[in-house]
Amino acid sequence: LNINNSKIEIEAVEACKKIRKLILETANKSKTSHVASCLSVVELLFAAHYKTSRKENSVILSKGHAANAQYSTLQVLGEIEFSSDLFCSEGSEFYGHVNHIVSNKIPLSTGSLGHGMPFAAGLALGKKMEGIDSLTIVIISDGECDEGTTWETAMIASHHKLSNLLVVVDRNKLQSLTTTEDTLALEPLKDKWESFGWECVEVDGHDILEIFSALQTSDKPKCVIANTVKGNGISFMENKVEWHYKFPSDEELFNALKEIQ
Amino acid sequence: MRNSFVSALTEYSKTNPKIVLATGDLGYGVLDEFSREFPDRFINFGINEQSMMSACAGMAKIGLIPFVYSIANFNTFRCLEQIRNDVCYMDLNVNIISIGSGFSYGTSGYSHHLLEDFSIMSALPNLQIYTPCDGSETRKSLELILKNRKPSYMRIGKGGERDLSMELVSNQNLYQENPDLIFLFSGPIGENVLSASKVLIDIGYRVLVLSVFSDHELEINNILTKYPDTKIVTVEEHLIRGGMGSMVLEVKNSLNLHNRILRLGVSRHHGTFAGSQSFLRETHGLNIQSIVMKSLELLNS
Repeated sequence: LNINNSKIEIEAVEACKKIRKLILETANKSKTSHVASCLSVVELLFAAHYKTSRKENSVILSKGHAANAQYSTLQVLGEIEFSSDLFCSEGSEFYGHVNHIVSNKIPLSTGSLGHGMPFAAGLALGKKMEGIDSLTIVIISDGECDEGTTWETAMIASHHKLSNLLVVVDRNKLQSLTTTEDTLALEPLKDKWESFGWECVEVDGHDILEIFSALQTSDKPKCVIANTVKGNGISFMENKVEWHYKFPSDEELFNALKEIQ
Repeated sequence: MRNSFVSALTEYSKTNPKIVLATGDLGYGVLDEFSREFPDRFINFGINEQSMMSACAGMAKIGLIPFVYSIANFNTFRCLEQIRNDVCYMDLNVNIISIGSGFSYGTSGYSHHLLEDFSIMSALPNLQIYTPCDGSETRKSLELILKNRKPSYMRIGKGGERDLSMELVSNQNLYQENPDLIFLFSGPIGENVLSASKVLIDIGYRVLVLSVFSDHELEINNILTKYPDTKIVTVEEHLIRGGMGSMVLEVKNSLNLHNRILRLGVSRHHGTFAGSQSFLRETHGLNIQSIVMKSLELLNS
């Protein structure tokens, strides 16, 4: 198991470096925002899609503004043909929020927060009704926990015992203007999920093995609170609200790519 | 109409195991026929229309055929973005059944009046719209919904509407050639339109009455092409702005025709007071007498 794990870890670390590079190059070329939101979710997307490539699970990225990360991950995993000059270019279907049109690996177009989780619950409920043995993994942002549909669906999923549903919260603790706690306090977040009848675990959202082991189902719907760093991997982008909006200049891209070597 | 819908859906479900009926905690006594027969395919989501709509889109994604049942504003405006993004843009086979068209829930007040839905829903991509006037057209609409495999929206009345199909057929047999006036209507207001047409026919006019309940733009196009200079009165229990009558004006304009067209509907929603459906129809000029008087003005002009 250990040998296996270390093999996966090496593969994953290399893949996540490639994903981060492609995200940064894409943000630079397309001059688009949300680069820090993309960098916090790299390992989560990789782990969710990595599982998928071995079994036909459904992976939904509800924080659609991290589309660049979604496309870069699927490109590195060999699932789609994506390159930095396609993102947000004139007439391209790779627009700035997740578009299902580009790949059958994307079950839902997102961009408006609070849609992915109820859609995922419907998928999971449908699979249960139809006896389809397949997981549904939905990655939501922590800011998305402000949305009423998050908690409506938390009730729906536990009421219908959707043990085939995994919600991963990208807990990077920053949202559009400031911290989550200064905006609309989420803590104690784990207690909230547990009180809604969910199994809830916390992991380091940049530790691929911790994520893999958390992405196992139990007899309840499961929430994985993935503690992440917004802008992860690039020192001057980490934990800075401004990188929700800025795109890296050529010089910043050069410096950022050096940090990933 | 709601009983016609539930009975027909229950019947179809006997041979189509993909049909699911979802409700946002409404339909007391109305949905029992289905829920008794198919308890595993009946889901009362609770009072959460937004999540229910997205969840139904998720179910449609794996091949189920959800019908989302609720009243008026709840499975339309309350969850409009979910319909726009998760159902229509995704082009999924989710079927929204909204009861309480127009002033069906008149005494319940403004929150329960459904007067803007055709306007708003007809702006959404991929959505097929059905506006039946009675039980027969409700069943026909359901048949079309199950064939189209697209997002669908059906607005129906409540219960106890008169079935108009026989009267419409006999009217059309008598007056489809050279009518002096055509009534185009949508929905249960058809009962008043038919009554108004009888008054005008008794006076001596040739009055053709047509219900437009599906594929509205194409239907209207066909009707205007066939009757390029006949006077037309459109009647709907809906806002005039953006309603079926507005679509008639648009089609007339694009065909470059010169029909005289009068649109009857709700010009301004006076939502501050209660009333029965017939009282509120009268208040908004949709009673038989008003329809007759306005139509005579057009006929005599």
